[in-house]
Amino acid sequence: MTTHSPATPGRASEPSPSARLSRGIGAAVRRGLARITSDVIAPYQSAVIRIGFSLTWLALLLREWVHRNELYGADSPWSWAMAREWNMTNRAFTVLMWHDSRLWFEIVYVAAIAASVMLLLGWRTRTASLLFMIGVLALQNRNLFVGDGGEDVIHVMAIYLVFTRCGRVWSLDARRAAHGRDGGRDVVGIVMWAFFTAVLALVTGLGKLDTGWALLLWGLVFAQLAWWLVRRYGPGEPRTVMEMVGNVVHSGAMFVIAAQVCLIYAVSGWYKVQGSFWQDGTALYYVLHLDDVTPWPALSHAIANSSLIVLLLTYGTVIVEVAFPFTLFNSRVRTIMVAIMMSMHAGIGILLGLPFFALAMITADALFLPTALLRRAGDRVARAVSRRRAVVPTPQVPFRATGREVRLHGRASSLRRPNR
Amino acid sequence: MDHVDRGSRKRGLSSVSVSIIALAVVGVVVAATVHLAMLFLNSAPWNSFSQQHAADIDKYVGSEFAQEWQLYAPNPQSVNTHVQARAKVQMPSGTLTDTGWVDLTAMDDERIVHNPLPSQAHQNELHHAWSNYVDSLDNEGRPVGLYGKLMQQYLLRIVAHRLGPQVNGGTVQFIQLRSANTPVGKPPWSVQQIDTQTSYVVQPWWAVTAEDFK
Repeated sequence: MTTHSPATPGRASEPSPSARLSRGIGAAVRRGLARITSDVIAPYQSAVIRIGFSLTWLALLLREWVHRNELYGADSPWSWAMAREWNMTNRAFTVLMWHDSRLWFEIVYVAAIAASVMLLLGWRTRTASLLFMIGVLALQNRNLFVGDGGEDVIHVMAIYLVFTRCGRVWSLDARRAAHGRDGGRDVVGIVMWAFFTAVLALVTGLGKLDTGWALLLWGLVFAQLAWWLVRRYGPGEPRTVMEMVGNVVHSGAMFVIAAQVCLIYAVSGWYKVQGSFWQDGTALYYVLHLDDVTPWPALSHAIANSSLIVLLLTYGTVIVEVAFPFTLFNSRVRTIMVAIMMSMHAGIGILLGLPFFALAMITADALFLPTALLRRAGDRVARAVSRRRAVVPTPQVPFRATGREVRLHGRASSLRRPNR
Repeated sequence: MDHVDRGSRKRGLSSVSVSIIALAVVGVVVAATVHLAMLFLNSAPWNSFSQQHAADIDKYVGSEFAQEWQLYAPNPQSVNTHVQARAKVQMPSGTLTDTGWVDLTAMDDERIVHNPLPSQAHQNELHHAWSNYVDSLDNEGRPVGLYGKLMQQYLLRIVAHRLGPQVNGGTVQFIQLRSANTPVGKPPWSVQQIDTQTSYVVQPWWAVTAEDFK
């Protein structure tokens, strides 16, 4: 693309430093472009966050099953009419505002659970991610005042995941593709698409959608149709182009997700630095004495009683939060940092009684794990599963072999597939 | 080797295809940059740029990307706030009597303690409603704007749901709330000590309608 004309005609054999620099930058940009267009970057990392966030939300929905009506439904102190009045001001999108009935709420809640399972398993991942996002927004935007940081993380991540190709590995979709059933007619997919499109047409006709959301949802519906068409009828260049565009969008979304996680840590750290309790190293003492975040008061108070432990934990928290974004450039430091962050969040989840926030943040941390480690962990899980299956005497497709195919599939350049 | 391979394949694409891909790259780069800049400005302290573009930033971030990451910052709370309620009930004889104070937060805390999976209904509902309501008050202690009005109504309804329409054999007519604020106190190793006496902030009586219990 770039032409390499020498800076001055007389010194053609020896390019000037600036020319070398620009050539270097050009080469780097070309390499980067080749990488983000020709392949799905970070397939394992995107799969791990897909699994993690859908699992967190699924667990939360199941945990709150008995409280669902009080939190988001017909029995909520935040009544449907109040929610509508408030959502008119901030234009928050929730399908629960489409109808004020108990039945509609129950359908949406169950559908949100189903969408989480779909996304967790990576079954029709594209559709699943869209339904997952709709479910998350439906419930959270119905009552914005009962969530904590964990819900905030899931809220934004559910939107970002729609734009990632997060089902390339560790998913039922990947297994289908590995078995060569990717280009099939896919009756289930067509039925789901038709149903979704019919509902979308209905609500668009009834004027229940904002322009922005209508554009986004219709755009995604048509993108899926185009995908299906090129998979079936355009295996050459059209498919290659769509794969590449998909890869570019995926790369952008993954970058945004990574930056979002950094922003969470950075903001959290920067504001702590300004606080006097974080400065004098006593902040943890106060947190461990707040009644609503001490499910294990004896343990919390015991930890809080040691001035040294409180000091170390308080300073340690600020240090790792502020440092986090800057440690990402070195892979070894990054992995250590992720381990620290995961332990910190596990501790918060247990000690402060915030398990869903902790799970969401541990998932966010897992985004920065190295591929080799994720694959090793995945293999170990696959082996454990296949061993358990081997006990049951049923003829099986060996799971390990499938796992390997999946991996190859994930790594294989998508460019090569059309020429298969 | 791999890159050369990919590059040559890319060159094999028609110019239309290459422009579509180029357009996608530009679009994604612009979208990601704008998005992250907006999120950053939304989270960063108030600065000269965000002052000028506050309306645009708020509009972009909206409620879908709104986020609050000042977790226990700048300082964690150093006071345990308990929301307590009492009711003015009408007895069958027609007389109005006041009930005693009920500590609703203590009831929530009882459900949180020794529970590895506390519910948002006990952890956040009343707690957030109370702090949102208090934040919406002006200097004279009146809720401001639609937000204030809704937060007062929300809080009243939470309490109404928890007390129920009948208390102590009478029908609830009015509800009054107060916060019992108990400072955690300085750590034992600290040289300075503060008073950890509980203080109360009492809200006015609020009339309750049958709707509020639904």
